[in-house]
Amino acid sequence: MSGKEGSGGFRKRKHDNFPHGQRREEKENVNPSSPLMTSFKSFQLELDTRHDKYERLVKLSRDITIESKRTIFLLHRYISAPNGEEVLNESEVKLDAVRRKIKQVAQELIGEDMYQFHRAISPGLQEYIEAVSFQYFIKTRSLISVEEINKQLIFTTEDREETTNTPSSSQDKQPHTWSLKVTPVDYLLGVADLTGELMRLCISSVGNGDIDTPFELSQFLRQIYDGFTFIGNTGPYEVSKKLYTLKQSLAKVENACYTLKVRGSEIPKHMLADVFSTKTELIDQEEGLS
Amino acid sequence: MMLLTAPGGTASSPLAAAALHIRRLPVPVPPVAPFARPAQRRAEPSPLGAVTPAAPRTALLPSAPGCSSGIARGSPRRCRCGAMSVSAMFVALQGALTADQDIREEIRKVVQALEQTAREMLTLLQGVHQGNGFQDIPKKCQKAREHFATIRTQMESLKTKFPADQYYRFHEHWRFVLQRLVFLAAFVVYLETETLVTREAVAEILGIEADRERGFHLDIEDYLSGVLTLASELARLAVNSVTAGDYSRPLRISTFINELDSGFRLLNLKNDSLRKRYDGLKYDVKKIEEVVYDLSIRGLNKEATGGVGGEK
Repeated sequence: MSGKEGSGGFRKRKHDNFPHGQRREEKENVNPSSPLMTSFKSFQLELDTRHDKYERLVKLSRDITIESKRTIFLLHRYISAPNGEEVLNESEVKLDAVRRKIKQVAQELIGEDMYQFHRAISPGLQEYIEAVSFQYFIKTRSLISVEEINKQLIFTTEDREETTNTPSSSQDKQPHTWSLKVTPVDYLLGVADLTGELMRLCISSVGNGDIDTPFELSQFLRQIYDGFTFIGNTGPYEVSKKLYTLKQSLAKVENACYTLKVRGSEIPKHMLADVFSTKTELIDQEEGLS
Repeated sequence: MMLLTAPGGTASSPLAAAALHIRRLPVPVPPVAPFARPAQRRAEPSPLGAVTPAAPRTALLPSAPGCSSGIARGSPRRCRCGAMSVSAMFVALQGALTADQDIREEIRKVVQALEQTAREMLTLLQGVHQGNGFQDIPKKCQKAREHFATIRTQMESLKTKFPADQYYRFHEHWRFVLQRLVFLAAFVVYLETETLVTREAVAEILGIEADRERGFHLDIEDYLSGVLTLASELARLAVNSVTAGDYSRPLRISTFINELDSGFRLLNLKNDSLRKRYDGLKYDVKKIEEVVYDLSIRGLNKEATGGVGGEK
């Protein structure tokens, strides 16, 4: 008899025969202490441990993302607020809090292959890179390097207050150094996100009557854009995807600079809003720039 | 306001020079920086290269050539350090990414060879489904075992292609073939001994480690995936063994699969690919149950239990 016939027949009698038969048979035949079952019990343990760790990391990553986003919003206030120093200090405090979270991530990853859990923490790291590079840009008007970021992600027990709520705190009694290395791809993606923030910064600074910042920003963005085109498709797919958004941000900023240059500072602010909302002729105007 | 547009052109020149250097293009460095970039872009077979918004912009900068030479002479312009470091950073990143791609390329080559061997073994073992293939199962297993020697050398070369502590970084490249190999090893072991191969034994057959700490290892999810493939293969084997007149084998397979099923039911799987594969296991169980049912209502299993001794 062929398999086809059998499966057709099975459907008809599945309700009366199969479930009972299987259950009875299992009780009879499957010995809970057989070697197969013991090994599956250890697999259960191993998989559960791994999934739990993954979940904890995802949660940490979410927290890192949220706090980093808040820091970025805070830094956007820097330009408009008169008390710039205060905002910067506050952002430093916030970033310190984020770094404490990252320290927990690093502790979770002790003795693990970082790339195994990379997908869990990658979004948070990218957001952190965005925040920290944004702050760095506001402070120094230049791009933070991977090495600089990694340097800030080395933790020691004496360095910061003892973490009591870490799930793995039982293991880290001995003085130890933890570090987390940001991968080049995470860094690139974070920097690509940074350009979006810089574009927003550019627009808001024009709104505040700051004429120099847009030019400085367009200059900076152009360097980053050149860098990204240099990388091109060497990087993974996500990087190439960001390139398109980056181009749009750059076009907006360049367009703003064009308008500022042509019409000077007397341009009414409501017209600037128009400039930023029109996207259709971006490429044409870009070519006409300078 | 005015001098800001100028250094934009300068940013491209170190990049372009670096590009020519890194890629070792036969194109000589053109004297004027803005034209170096399009040349590099054309040489690169990149889909992104088609998007060339920067090229006309840089080329259109009237002050760019003069400015870039000015920077080269070391004139202290406003954004000298920024321009240099940004491009330098991207050059370094590009280097890292290229190195990464080279590693992946190497891995892909070895994995292709592994896949070839795995295909050959699969073809060999598919013979058991043929009517007359049941007689020489031990011979087929023997032959398959010879192929594992090739696998072991190929695994050995795979291990050398990437840093040992970055297993999971490149994991997806060999994930599929490794699952296939686990299945093949499990199938051979099942045909020989009618037991489930342990993870350690698979690792030994494939010439790799069972623990992560000791180097190139067998990931538990890959092992379980391979075992699930074995289950569906055995469901097929049960049907075909009946066709070939072997009525005892389906009963043994049924016991085995049931045990496997209760084993898998112990696991708390996440909603991932392994879980999807596991969802297919119940159909294999049903299929075999059905075969056993068909045999028993026809009284064929009695005949089989009588014939078991003779067969062995």
